[in-house]
Amino acid sequence: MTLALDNARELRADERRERFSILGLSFPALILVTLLVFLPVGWLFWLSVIDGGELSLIHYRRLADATHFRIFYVTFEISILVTVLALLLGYPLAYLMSQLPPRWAGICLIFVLIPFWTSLLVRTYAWLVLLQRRGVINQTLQDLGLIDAPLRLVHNYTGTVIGMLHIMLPFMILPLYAALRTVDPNYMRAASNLGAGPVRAFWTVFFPLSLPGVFAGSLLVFILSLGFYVTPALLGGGRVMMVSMKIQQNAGLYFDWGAASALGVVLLVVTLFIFWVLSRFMRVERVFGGG
Amino acid sequence: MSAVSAKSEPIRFEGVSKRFGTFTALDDVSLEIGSGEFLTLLGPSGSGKTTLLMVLAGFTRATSGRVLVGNEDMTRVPPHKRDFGMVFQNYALFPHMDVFGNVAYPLKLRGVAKAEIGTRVRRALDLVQLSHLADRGVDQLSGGQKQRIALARAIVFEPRVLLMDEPLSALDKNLREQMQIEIRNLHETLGITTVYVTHDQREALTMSDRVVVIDAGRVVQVDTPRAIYERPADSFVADFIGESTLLPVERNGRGFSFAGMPLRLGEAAANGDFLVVRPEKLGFHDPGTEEEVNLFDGSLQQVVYQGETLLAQIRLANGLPVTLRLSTRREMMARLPEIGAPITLALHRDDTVIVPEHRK
Amino acid sequence: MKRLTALSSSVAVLALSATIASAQDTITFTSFGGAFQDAQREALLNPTAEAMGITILEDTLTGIAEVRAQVLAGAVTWDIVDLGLADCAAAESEGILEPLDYSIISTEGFDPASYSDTWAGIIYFSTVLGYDTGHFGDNPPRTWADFWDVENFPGARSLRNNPVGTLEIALLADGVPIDEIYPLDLDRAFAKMEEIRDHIDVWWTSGAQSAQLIADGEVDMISIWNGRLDAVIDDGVAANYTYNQGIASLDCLAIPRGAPNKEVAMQALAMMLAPEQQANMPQYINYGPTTSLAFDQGIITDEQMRISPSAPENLALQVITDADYWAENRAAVQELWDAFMTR
Repeated sequence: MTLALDNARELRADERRERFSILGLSFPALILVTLLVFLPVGWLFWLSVIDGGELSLIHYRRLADATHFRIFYVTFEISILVTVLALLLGYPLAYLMSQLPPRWAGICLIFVLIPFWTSLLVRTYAWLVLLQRRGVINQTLQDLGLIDAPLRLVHNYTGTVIGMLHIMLPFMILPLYAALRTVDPNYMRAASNLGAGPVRAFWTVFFPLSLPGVFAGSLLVFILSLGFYVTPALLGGGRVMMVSMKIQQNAGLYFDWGAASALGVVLLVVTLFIFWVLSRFMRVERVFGGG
Repeated sequence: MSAVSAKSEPIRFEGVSKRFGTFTALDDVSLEIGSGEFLTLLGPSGSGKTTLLMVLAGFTRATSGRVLVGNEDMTRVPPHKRDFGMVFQNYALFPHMDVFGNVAYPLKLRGVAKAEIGTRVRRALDLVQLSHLADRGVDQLSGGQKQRIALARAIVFEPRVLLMDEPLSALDKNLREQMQIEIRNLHETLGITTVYVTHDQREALTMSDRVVVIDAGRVVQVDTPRAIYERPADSFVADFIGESTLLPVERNGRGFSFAGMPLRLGEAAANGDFLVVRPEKLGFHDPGTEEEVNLFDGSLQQVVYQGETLLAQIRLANGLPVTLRLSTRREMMARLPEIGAPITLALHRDDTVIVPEHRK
Repeated sequence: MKRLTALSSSVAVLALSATIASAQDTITFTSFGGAFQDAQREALLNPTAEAMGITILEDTLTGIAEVRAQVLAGAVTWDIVDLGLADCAAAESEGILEPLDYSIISTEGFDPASYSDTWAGIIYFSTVLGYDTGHFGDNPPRTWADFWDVENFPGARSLRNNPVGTLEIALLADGVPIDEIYPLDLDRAFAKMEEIRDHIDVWWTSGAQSAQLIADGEVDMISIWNGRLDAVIDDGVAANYTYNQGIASLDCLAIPRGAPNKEVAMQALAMMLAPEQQANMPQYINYGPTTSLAFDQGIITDEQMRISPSAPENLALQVITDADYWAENRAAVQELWDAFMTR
């Protein structure tokens, strides 16, 4: 009996040691995440409520004007537009890829990924070359006699959306493709067997089952779009002012960390709010590949 | 009159072939399935049994040949217009709909009035004894429940035929045996022509009116379960269904002999190269029965105890091994000699089956 | 030969007046990179390093933010920085620059507005009205009023997306004389901006972008820095510009507070600002010297003088940017500008 008790204690000690070693292994990562994620956000928040060494909401009060309202409005409008367009363009492509044999899907995937190997700046400049007044597209359309005067495709809202859409498309296609590929083809067969034609079967079965991918891709594209800087700065022609550009102006030009931080905090809070609203409608952990 | 009525129509395959590149999945299959019959397609994996079912369901297009249901040529009819019920291997219940939604789905597609949908879904669920689960989500169901819901969904719209693709393979043994009986009973109730695919020979024997044994895309034998087991058409069927040892025989005039000893033949048609020896058909030699049996001398090598039966490994005089299955009843066990001792085995002449070699 | 003599004599003077620098001394000079810094290296850095027997390392920056970051972090690695005028004025008011030692730095020939306690102008450049000669032929826009006249001067237009310089342009277009620009009448300026808003095709943000716009024919007329436009014209693009109603501005040199080699940097700075060295600059890039004495060194040719932004006859046509005004009002005006741009 004594022997059994001794043994139990040793086993418990073993178990504790094992748990500690797991904690020990993850400890550096935990520290790093805390340092790199939570500290900056906390610091950002702190800066946003400090003015001249005192607690103050002045930076937030300054945001409550028509200029900042329009900047936020444009930021969200562009982000939503880019997200919707990316979904409309990305879904059919992801669907096609999910239905192809693995080898062909792999080739398509490479084409989707190629833009990632080129710098964002290069791709943005490439659009400038294509879209500008004497660019390839206008020149071609004029040579074909389809238009008399060049279309205004860039240095405005249109150019910004086109450029951002191109950059965001892979971020939409990849999670969509991952989700669409996991939809068991037997579901479509079952729908068909039960009497649904291809279109009915798609809308009543395939599409609802692909919604986690739709949400994942849309959320990713939307959130990335909110913080976009380079493309609107280069293709917007000065007309498109997004929050990130205002932040850069405050921080870089005027050394106004308070104002920049307040903008950052508002953007963060609004984004989290959207995330929260979405999570009411669906299980977020499922969106990002959990269940 | 049953709670859910069903049509019952015959099915006919006429010279159906399917090739994938150079691979022949189905090789000129012709087959008639009677109205209201429960027919099982049985074969090893890759034999073509699933392909044949897919051709019937319309998910796979045959390379050549025709498929008829009733008098209607279905070969080029798309699957959603065939009006066949099907139960899939993993059930394929739609996870974004609850149980009611799943069973109601085919009725909604057919534009059935809402009130009637309710009644008919209820009746179908009653039939599988799961009416109380109508509001459940699909992922809250057990394997057996999913199986029954899939069945209810496949029959609720009164399909012309019912197809099942290894529907029980995901269930554990006890549940599987229970479901076999339930499906069989449901078939009795509905009288619907049913095509069932399985690689489990016991399941095929248990459930079917007739079994089709398929190998390498060809139909090897179509027969009742008993005939398939007792009178296999060739060495493949004999080997694939049940346990057996195939012993080479020589042709001896109009008869056959094994190891120089002429074989007594009974009612089984004997034609071919191999004697099919099933362990449970072998017995001890009872004096006075010599006219009715063939006797084999050998020595006992090993005994494996398996609960209700035991297996005895015996080496015949010419060195070939056979297996004897014995009930573990006391008086039967008592007749077993020591390991290494000589033993004489008897095989009834009606159980003396000689089959040709399988044509690859 | 003549140039070399002039240089060596001035070096001798400076060398006498200053503590002799030792060969081990190293300073770091930081500017905007590209063709501009290449020119500074040839015209200023190499002669200074040679004359003083020191090593001058180089780095690049994009503006005041990096200087500020170094100073506030107490980790200054730059000894001399090149900044735009508005940044210089802002840096001075923020107190992140060392006071300059005008006992060794000569400001003879400098405009009083072109140096201050902590900074001194090193080049003049001008924001000018540039245009596509292929588009306009014999009748190009010559004034900012022409730029605003969309009826008689049709074509694609571009202005800088920045109030500094652009609001001055709006007032000039509205008929304000060049010597009455400051302090800016902001209401009048923004009212004038409102008139042209819908006719501006591109609001440019970087010098490279402005050059690309005119080079690619993306716009037909543009407010642009003369040096950028000169480079484009040298590349064979059909474009031209006028100094009439140009907005002259400065780049200044300054020493960040707490610079590691302050003493040596001060001597080097004095040498770079001297007319003998400033006269070298137009040999490499068309930016104007900040001391008028540079034009008397016999180094700058007549042709170079004709197109120099700071040649007296050109400077007379231009508004000289008021650094103090912008240092004081820039943030507030930027708010108005953002409101205008997002409206």
